Amino acid sequence: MSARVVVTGVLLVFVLLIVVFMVEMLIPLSVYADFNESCRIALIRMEAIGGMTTEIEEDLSNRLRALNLTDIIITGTQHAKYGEVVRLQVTVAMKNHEMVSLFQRVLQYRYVTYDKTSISRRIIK
Amino acid sequence: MSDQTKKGSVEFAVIFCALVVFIFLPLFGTLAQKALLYQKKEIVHQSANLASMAAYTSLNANQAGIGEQSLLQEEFNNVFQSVLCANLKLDQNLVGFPHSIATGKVDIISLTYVSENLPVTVGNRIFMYPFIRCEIKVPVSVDILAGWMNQDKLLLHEVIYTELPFDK
Repeated sequence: MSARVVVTGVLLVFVLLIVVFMVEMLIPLSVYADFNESCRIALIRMEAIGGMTTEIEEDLSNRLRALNLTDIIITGTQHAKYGEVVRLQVTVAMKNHEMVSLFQRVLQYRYVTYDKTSISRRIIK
Repeated sequence: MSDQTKKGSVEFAVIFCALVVFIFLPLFGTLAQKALLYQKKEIVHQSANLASMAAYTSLNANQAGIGEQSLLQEEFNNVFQSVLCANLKLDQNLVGFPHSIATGKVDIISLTYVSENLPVTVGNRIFMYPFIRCEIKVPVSVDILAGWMNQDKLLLHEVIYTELPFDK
């Protein structure tokens, strides 16, 4: 009977380890979706206004910081007339304490980039 | 400890491991694959949506002046294709570059500007204003369980409806 308890205990720890590992694998996907959405909002605003403004940049930066992202680099077209290309490039680092063994976690940075292009709809009067 | 108890524990451990390997792991693999495919679908959707919005810049200004909305067809196609290529990282023949999510040739099945017989109902959506309907097929790679699924490519079929963007 005691052997079964020991075996069950070991197996439960093993299963728990796998579950934690798998769930942690999916967290970056969720953060990436939010990151993508924030950048998309900024690009649509740039498209309508005709380029990157300080306000858009600050707003995007705040949104990304709220997602716990670091090393934020934002580059965007400054001025674009109607019909010209508007481009937004954002690079961020996702900070993640990844589990490498049963009692060990290592801090890892995963860099992701958003690079999308659109056409300005700003009409210069 | 009796031999029978030991045997029972080993059997239990074997059944448990078999359950993990043959049910739990494939189940998680499938879920993870679905999540990754959903992300790719979102990227494709977003890219096509941006391309459609950009294509609205080909609205015929003269016609717009008299309240008619029509697009310059050639410019419309060119703008859509150029923005889609830039966003999905495709070459001129719509084939994905090595760092693109498209693993082959992207197929633009249809690209139409609908401005007549409005309002139009598509599924649960009702379009009161002119819109662009775009249908594309993008081949993407299968990241997990490619061996099990016996295929390394999947074809994402996307239909995107984009209404004329209004700036406030």
